[in-house]
Amino acid sequence: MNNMNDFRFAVRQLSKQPAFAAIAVITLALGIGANTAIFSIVNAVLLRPLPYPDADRIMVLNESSGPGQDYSVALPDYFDWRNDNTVFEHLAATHKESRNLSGIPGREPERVSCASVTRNFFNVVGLPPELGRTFSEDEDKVGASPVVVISDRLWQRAFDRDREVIGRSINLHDQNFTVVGVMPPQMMSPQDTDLWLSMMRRSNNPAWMDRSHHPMIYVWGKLKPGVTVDQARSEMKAIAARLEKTYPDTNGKEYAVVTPLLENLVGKYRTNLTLLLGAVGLVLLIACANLANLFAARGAARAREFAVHAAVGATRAQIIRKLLVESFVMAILGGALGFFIAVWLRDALIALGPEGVSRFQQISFDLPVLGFTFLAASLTTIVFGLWPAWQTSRADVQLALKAGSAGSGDPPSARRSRDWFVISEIAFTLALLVAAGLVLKSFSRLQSLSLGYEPRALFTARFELPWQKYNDHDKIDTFVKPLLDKVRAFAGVQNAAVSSNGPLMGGWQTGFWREENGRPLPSDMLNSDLEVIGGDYFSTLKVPLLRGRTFNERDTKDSPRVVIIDQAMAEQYFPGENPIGKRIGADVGNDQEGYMMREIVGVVARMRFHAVDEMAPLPVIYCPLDQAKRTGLALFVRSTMTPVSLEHSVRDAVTSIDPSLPVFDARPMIDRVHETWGAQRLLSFLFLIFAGLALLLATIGLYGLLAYTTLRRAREIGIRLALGARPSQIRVLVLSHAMQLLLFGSVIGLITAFAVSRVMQSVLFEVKAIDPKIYLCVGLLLFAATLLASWIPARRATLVDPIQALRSE
Amino acid sequence: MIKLRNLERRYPLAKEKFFYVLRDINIDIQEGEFISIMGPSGAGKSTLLHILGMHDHGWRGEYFFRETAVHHLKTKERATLRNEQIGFVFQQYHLLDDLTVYENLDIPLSYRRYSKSERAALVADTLDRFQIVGKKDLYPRQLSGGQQQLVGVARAIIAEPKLLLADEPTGNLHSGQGEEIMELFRKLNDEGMTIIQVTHSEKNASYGKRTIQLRDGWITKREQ
Repeated sequence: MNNMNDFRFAVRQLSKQPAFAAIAVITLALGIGANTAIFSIVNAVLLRPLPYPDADRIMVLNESSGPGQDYSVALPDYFDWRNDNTVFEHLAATHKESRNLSGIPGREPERVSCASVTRNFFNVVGLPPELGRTFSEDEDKVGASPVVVISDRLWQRAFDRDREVIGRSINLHDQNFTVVGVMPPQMMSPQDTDLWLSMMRRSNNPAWMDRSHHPMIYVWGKLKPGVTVDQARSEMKAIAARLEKTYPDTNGKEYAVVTPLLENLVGKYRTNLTLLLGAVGLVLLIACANLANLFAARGAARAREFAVHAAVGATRAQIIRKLLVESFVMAILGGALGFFIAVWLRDALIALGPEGVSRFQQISFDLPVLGFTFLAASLTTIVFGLWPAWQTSRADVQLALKAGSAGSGDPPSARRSRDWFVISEIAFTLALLVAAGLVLKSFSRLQSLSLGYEPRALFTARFELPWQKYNDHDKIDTFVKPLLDKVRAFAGVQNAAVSSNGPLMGGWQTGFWREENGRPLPSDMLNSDLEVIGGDYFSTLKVPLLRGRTFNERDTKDSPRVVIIDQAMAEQYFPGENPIGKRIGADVGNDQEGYMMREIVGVVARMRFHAVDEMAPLPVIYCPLDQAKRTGLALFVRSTMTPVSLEHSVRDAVTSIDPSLPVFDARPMIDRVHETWGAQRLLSFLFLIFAGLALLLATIGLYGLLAYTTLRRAREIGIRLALGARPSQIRVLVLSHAMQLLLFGSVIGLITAFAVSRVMQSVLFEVKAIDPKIYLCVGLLLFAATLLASWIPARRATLVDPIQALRSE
Repeated sequence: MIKLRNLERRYPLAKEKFFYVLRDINIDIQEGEFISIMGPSGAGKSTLLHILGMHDHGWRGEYFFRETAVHHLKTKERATLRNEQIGFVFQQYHLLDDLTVYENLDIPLSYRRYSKSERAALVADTLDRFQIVGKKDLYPRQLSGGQQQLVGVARAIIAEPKLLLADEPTGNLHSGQGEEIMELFRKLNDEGMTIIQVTHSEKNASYGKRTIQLRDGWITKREQ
């Protein structure tokens, strides 16, 4: 009953002062809304469990030879791991690829995302098929009949959920496969897969059986119940050490990396999101500090009202409860509005997030997010409501009304607390502004980063030539050459080329050595990126040739093997030398050739092949398509045509040469570049918003405090004026108070900014976390904001009429 | 020292209607005088004091302060003149609660052109002169009413004004403390300081050399 009364009282009080209520609710809505929005991302990306049973026991394993030197697993190593380990219930191998799906009546050929997996992969994931079955033991052997399990998404898209799909034949890269099962909708691993093929059918592939080859196979394991990740790491380390001893030529310095699946999927966003959650938490604290001061000022103005409550028997606890209920009503209203603001921002947040990370697309406002909002609102009530309630309840009304008091009108402890609230606001704001400055500078560096090629007016598309059909150089030529001729003939096209792994399209690494140094052990080989190219590749991408020549028609499958290297390789491995005419040993992926000596005929400028957060840049070897067989190709077209019309023309050209060949991933190169900015873009945009919000709130908070203090000090100011103070001296009085707060806040803010600089460094690109220019700019910005916030109160203070102030006489 | 001619102070009530607080005030005050202004509440005593103290600028008429035509001065010039020539004592002392006795005495000096060492010397002299050295580090709340008013008077004269204005200086003090303050005023006046006080007390008025009676904004009586 009492609670209801308090609630009614609170609502009545707030409705009596709608402007006050509106300011408080909007402040809370901004603070709680921003927190809800960021928590919704954190929840979707980091917290929401994966849709698999016992998902926390699923691990992804790869091999590595040191930090930043991660690579896929050699198949023989996988076999040894599987046989020797005692910590995994199941250990499966996966290999991602894409194939052309055709032969479905009424459907155009399309490129589908496939994964070759060992049959126990489905045991690792732990989901049964929703229709049919997964692979039998016999179907996961060399020479087994080709069968396939499809995703629910593909079942819907290609077969309209026809239950008769089981037993049907589909064509993948001109080979027929029988559908044996359909997986449930939540099964999309690894990486948005639509089709699962049996891996062991192809395990007799000689390249796969070479222990020095790491052919993009990744291992998935399910820990036995009760086994910890550390135990698994420890055992895998021991197995890797044994393998190193047994196979020193291939397994030297190699070890197994065990990563929980969720960490593998989104681990690299953890720091970013933690920083954002911290930033947005600071914004809420700043909002709370503002409100605490606002409520305290209001409490002081209502001292008489609560004196009456006390006089008629209210205990201190009852007064505090009354005030806390008011705060809670406000927080709930702010929380509700904040929740709707966050929901409204959902699409914008998704658009800002990194593309290709499906968990970012799954932001939703479910029960945990709603619970978080309620918790934030409740905690907010305590943070901003308790202190003013405490202050109001302990106010000595007699003292407050005591005549002749000429201080600031509040107890010194209350004034100190109020000052500290604003000091903390300034400190948090400084830390946020510094962080925002750093990420903005980092983002700007990223945007202005020299890629080494010109991504504008460059169109890209990809296609997969079925290897069964295009199984030699001549057959590949029968597709590539006419395609390039057709594309070059389009109006507005200046140049066209193809390549195996263009910039930002994944990578293919190879080992190499200088001829003079002799062939090293596989584990001691130098590493480079390998790009197989055809057509006018360098002129199409606008990469300057620095020395020698580019490939020409004399570089055929029968001519001496040639390569072009990039500037990085020339500088690193041929310092002070002219590399033209020198030879390196490298394997360009021709099964029948293996490692061969190849003559360097040209040196080109350095290109950035990988996104900055993907891997450390490697030197690059370019090889002509005529000397390295590739069936997965990217087409590059430099053109003035619009991407839409160019895409249409390219599809027509491809279809005219091979009607069964789908074109996929067709888009301007600049879009691929922008995609790589996703995480930085999200971070810098949100930090900018939060720092701006913090600055606004802190400025309002400082203004509020100074305006309130000036009001409470009117009599003191009157006395000072009566004693001879000039208006400028009164202005200085107010401004110096503001500057003191700024000074204390800045010192604490600087310490905070220094403290978080180590965490910040990990998300920055080519920017030092302690950047004096940014600190200086932030200092000037805060100084300007302080001047702005204190100007009106300072001016008002000079307008105090000493006669009015001393009127009580 | 002071010459007021046809001075009036009024507040607008309605269109072309005014409430007159002071009307047709004509006063001459010589240097070294001790004047008491008396009258019932609402007579205009405090208003007259604030006009004399150049806090109130909304009056009409002529006001000469030591040959300077105050009515021709701008607000800023009046403030400068006030700072140089006038000290104030208030009924409610109006010491600054957050400052010590020493700091309260330093306040008027900080608003004038004194060097730091001059200020320190003047404050030390004043503390000594008023025999409150032992209280220099105390806050006003730690002093009795009489002691607070003693500090108030010390603060009013520390910048060596020519005119001391006091608004009911003993109004909040018991009779013993009031007498001490009035004796102090007499002593200051004997040393040559011109004093104008507003008081309700006949006894306090008797410390002055002349009394001006006000009623409803008019001067009703001048007594020697």
